[in-house]
Amino acid sequence: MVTSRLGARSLSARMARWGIAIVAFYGLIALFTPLLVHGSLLPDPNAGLENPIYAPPSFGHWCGTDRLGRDVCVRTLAGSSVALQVVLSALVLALVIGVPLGMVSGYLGGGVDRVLVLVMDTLYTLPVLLLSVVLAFLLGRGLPNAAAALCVVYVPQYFRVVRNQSAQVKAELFIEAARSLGAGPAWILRRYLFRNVITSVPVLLTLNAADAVLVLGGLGFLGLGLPETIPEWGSDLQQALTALPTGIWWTALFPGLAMFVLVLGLSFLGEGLEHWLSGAPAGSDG
Amino acid sequence: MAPRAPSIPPAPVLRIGALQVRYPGSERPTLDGLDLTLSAGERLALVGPSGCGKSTVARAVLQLLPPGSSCEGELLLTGQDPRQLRRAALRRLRGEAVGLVFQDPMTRLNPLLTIGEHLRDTLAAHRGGGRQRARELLARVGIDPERYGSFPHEFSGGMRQRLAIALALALQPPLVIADEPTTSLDVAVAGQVMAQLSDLCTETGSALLLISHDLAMAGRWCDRIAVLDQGRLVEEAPSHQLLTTPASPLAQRLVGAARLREGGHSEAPAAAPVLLEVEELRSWHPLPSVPWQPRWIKAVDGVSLTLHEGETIGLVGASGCGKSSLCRALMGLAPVRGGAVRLQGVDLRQLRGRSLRRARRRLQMVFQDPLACLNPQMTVGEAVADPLLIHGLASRPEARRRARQQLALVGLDPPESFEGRLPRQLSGGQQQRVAIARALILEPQVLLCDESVSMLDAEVQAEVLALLRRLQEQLGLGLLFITHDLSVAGGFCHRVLVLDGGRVVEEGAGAELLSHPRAAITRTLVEACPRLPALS
Repeated sequence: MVTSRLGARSLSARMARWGIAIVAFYGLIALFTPLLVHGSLLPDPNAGLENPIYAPPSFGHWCGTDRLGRDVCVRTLAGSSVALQVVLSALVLALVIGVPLGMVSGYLGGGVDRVLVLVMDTLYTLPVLLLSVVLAFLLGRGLPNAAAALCVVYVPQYFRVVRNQSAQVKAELFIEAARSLGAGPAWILRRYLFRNVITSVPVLLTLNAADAVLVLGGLGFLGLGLPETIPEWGSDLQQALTALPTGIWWTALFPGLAMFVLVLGLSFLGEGLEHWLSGAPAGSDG
Repeated sequence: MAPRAPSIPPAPVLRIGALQVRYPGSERPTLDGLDLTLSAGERLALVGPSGCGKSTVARAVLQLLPPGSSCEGELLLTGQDPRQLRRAALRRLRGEAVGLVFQDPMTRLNPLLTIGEHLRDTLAAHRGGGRQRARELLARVGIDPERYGSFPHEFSGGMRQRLAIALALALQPPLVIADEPTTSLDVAVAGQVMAQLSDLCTETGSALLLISHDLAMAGRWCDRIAVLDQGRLVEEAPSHQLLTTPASPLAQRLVGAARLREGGHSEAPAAAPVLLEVEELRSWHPLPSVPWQPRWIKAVDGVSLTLHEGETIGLVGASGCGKSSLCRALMGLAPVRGGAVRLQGVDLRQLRGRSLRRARRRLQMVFQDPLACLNPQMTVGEAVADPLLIHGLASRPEARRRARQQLALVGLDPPESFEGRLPRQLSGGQQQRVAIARALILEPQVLLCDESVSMLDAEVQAEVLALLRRLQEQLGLGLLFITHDLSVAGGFCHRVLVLDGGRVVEEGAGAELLSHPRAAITRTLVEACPRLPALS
């Protein structure tokens, strides 16, 4: 019993460590690739006129070149910066909209709650990719547009989690005690509800980030989301698809691998966080 | 089968000699050389301050100590040492030689098993016996055998505790250990449950080991009382002797605290200005019904009272009599259907919004459960300062300074060492002090205390009551003290109102109510409430 629990904890700790390492690694790449490209230490990810097309991996081009002669390695590195930017801004936006709405809805209850829950549940029933494809199509291409399309997908998730938590915490005695002291709804939301409902959000955030990387890739693959001038894993994969039957594997492998490892890292981080957050109180009590 | 204690000579059911128990990871032994003997049919109460090792005795006897604990010394249960037994024999010993009644029956019952299945499980594990025997047992503890198929959640707290007693006595064990069996029940129900337990023990000839912090209850139901302190026996004497002439300093302190709690009576203050006037207050909750024929739960149905400066009014009654609803209605937390509440001449029911909130500052409340009424994520300092910030009465640094003063005022000294802690890092008494500090920082004139001491143990109760009395004298507070414990109300309050069915049924000075109860409900409460024997 004891060993199995220790085993589970050490596994989750190891997962969390790997997750942090991977995500930090991508963060560094995202930070330094644009600088290196700007300082001409790396080639421009869009420049390919003087390069051979479909060159296999070599010393000159570590991951080969694609059908326009662009360096696959640089495009893959630059793609991580784009992916992190879009995903991060989409999730922050979703958080800023979803959490306050959820708190208000859960705390006030009544008609407001019912209408908001209906809207959010309707959004939630739509398949993630379908919804984001439609939104991306309506909003057009561009970095903020892609972020907005993704954000709408994730707002209902935060809303649901925070709303249910709020409805539960609302019934606690300390909320009533605060009301009896004369605190208004805004004060209670800010000082009493917020810190008690926010605990489940970090886990959801990292797991959603993993999901959002895939959805962004899916949008790119369908030719939506970002403009063609911005290197993005999804659109690169789509272009690689046509050449794959002729034995040109490197254009598909490297962007795909980059996406896979980032999703893996974020998932590890999320699972580790969940264990840590749910395990921490039990550990300190016992 | 565990051997029964032979009738001649009566060998002790339980003999503990120089028992030492140490939990893993703790430096000090929890039980440190304890000696106890319990003969067949005898009743012994174990009392002592929190953390003295009372509950550890029960665990040691049943060998339910966490793995890694050490347990040395003499331990004989019906002539056998449970430490020497193999697993199967130990299991048999646990059920057949000892029955255990816990504090909170709900958490000890399996919510997915019916009442009957619980009993049959116990019977089947040991000696078999079917539905018929289970029904008999239910009838013996006063539960209708027709409820055989009910689930634990359909039962009230008192009925669940009766079921726990039926389970403990199902196998007619020579020893029954009851660990704080009535702490979670209200006085009237607690009296019935203890009577049932006591009768059944007499019937089966079981010895009873009652673990409790309530001296009056211990004295009423047990022949002898043993006082524990830091894992040692400090005094053991017949109940009456211990409660009237305690010998050891700790017993003297405990009995003194218990007497202070129920004893003494408070002189009614001289004519003082009226603080709070409640007139025919009604708080009704709507039940689901058709609109032209509304149905109501009349939680409070026409209560009137007048509270003067420096006066304490006790509100007593059985659970469900409307005392908490009255409190909540006064605080604006429950709907008010009619009547008037005048606070220093201002009718609160005429005010709305901001002016109502400002007027209500003069009326504050201390809740029953101090831990639940404090935000678990807020430090003590923040929690006490928060009311000032809510009403915009002080800047942040100023509020923090006032909070520190307030903590010192309620006896949390030095405040610097408390203000950074979270509520769960304090003891129950300290938490209640924080709650009181928090209610008082707005300088209210009237303080509502809703069962504010019922969750604390006797000594801490006496401390908190003394604190309330000191604050009342210092600040001229009017106190509305809600309790189900008549003995506390009688000693602490100037006047006592008895509520039943949302109405005041009796009113008078505390001591008078206790000696000459008139209303039926008052009589029930007085009878159910165990009191210390009078000093000759």
